[in-house]
Amino acid sequence: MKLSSLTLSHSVFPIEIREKMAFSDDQAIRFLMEMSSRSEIDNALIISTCNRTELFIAVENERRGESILRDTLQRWSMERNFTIPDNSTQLILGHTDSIDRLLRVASGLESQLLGESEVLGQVRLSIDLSKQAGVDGRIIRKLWEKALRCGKRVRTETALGDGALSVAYGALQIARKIHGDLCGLNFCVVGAGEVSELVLKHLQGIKDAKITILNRSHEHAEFLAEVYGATLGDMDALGKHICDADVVISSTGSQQPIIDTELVRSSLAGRARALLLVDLGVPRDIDPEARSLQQVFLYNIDDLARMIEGHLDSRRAAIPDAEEIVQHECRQFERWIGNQQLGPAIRSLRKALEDASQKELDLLRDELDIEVHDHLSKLMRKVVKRVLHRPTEELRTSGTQLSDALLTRLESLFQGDDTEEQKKEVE
Amino acid sequence: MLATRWIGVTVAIHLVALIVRGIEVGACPVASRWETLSLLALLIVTMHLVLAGISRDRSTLIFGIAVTFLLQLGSASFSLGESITDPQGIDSISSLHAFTAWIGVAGVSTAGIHGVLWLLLKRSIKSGQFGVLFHRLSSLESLSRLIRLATVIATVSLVVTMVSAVFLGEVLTWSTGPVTSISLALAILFGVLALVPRSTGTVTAWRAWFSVTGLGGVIFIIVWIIRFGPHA
Repeated sequence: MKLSSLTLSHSVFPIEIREKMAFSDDQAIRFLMEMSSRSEIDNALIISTCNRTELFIAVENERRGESILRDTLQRWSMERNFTIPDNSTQLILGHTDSIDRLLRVASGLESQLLGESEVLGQVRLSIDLSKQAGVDGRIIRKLWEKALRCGKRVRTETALGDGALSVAYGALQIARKIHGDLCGLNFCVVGAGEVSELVLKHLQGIKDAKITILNRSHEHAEFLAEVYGATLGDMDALGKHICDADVVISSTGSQQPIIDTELVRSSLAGRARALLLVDLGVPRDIDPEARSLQQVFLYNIDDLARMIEGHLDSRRAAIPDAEEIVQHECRQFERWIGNQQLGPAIRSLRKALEDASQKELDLLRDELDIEVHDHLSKLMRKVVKRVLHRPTEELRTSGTQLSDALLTRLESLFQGDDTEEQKKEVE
Repeated sequence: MLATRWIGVTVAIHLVALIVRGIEVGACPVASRWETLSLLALLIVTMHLVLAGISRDRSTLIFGIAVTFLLQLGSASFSLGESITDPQGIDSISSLHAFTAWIGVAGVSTAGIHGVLWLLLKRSIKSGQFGVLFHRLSSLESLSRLIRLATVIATVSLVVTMVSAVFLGEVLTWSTGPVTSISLALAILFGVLALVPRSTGTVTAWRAWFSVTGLGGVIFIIVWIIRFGPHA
């Protein structure tokens, strides 16, 4: 099996395009199910965050994977109304690059805000979508596990995740530049997802801050309000809440802007203080036109990432260490996947030798005591194991470099039916 | 913190030099271009230090010092011995008039400097250009507070200047040059600005623009003095 991936990220696409490519959970599951039935894929993973939409698949060979992903990109561009850039071939990655890509994404090396921690949580949740769509095959699950492990290692063993840098941190930095001391300000947090929770965490240290949470569904919002000492507001009274707020931070999964320019304009009447609007949603929650209003300061996720850029020096210094970990984990995974390909070949070779020795031993069955026969049978198996140990290790080491044709040939040379016990033994 | 102390020491030395000069001529040292520009430089930096002390915001101090340095450098280009006005002719009311006028002008300059910084910072934040000013300056709220404070000080000083002018029997004519008219206009403008309540919204934007206009007036006064000398 070979991995392929399609990468649509912030490094190539601005937010105006990225928001067209964003998938809600339901959309992602529907897409994976559709792709599974159309292309007969049982190993796929989609990661759709505010900074990226990445699709990973595992199929028999890279050429097929590339063809499926190119077809997918064409479909997305038509369905979601965006133009495929000229360098679209660079958006589709081959086997090794795909492994490296997911590991780098989970580590935060590919994040707009270097080393951010949210992406690891988003990668963690992505397997649920694959599971619900029935495409969480063995290869993709193992890759996902590897990515999580790699992400954790990078954050614990290097300084890539050090410091309180996040888009929420950036939003509060801007709030400080506008309002000075944040004490006593009114904050309105729209949405109750992971990003909103991170924002609420950052707001905790502010003295006398009045925080209101608005969300369509009250279930999780109520929980957040209780944990973070906020007030739960009514989403239908959004205009009134904006009117009362000094800072509005929105991060919902809405496909359409929920705060339009007119709503913002009407909330400015009689206002003495400036209004800071922070849009962390992709697709965006706040109409970008609101930026033109005199007393309004509006920022999206790209603006915040640009703002924090200057604070990333210590994290940048940790990139070589993080990349070393990614490379190590990448090599381990490639070895594992190589072994998966070698498995049938090694199994058939071992079986052929064991069968041959067993056949010779069975000819002497009448002349030997049962105990002696069993003893010799075990001995034979040990000898076969010892003889094959070195060649097997050699094969494993060079497994990733062997062509598919050679592996198939090797397997067919000693073709036979595997027993479950043998399969386990080889693995 | 250390830099602020050094500035304080420098200001103290400068103040002593001007007091000695005042004792020497027996009046407020504004009889020559050297003295007037030097006194204005001292008052602007003092004003910045006072504002920094009250607000605990030192982020604008460097900009005030830059203007002070320019004025002091400008004053150094004139002769110390040059005297356009007869120092003996300056009585105590004239001294009060000149000194408060200069405090007023320093207040207007300080408000203007902060007004320019407020407008630049606002533009930087609004356009998402997070450059040097964004990282260097404190906040729009703090700058707005500093503009208002400088405005109030300028207004009070300029009112005293106008009252002392009445005692001096100085009439508002072009015979004393447009400096008087501009000072009066600044006093009225800043009086209105000082009375308007503070906010970070449209009111502050207007206040900042008017402060910048006031700074323009101050620049005109300085150029006038450089060209024709002080009228006091």
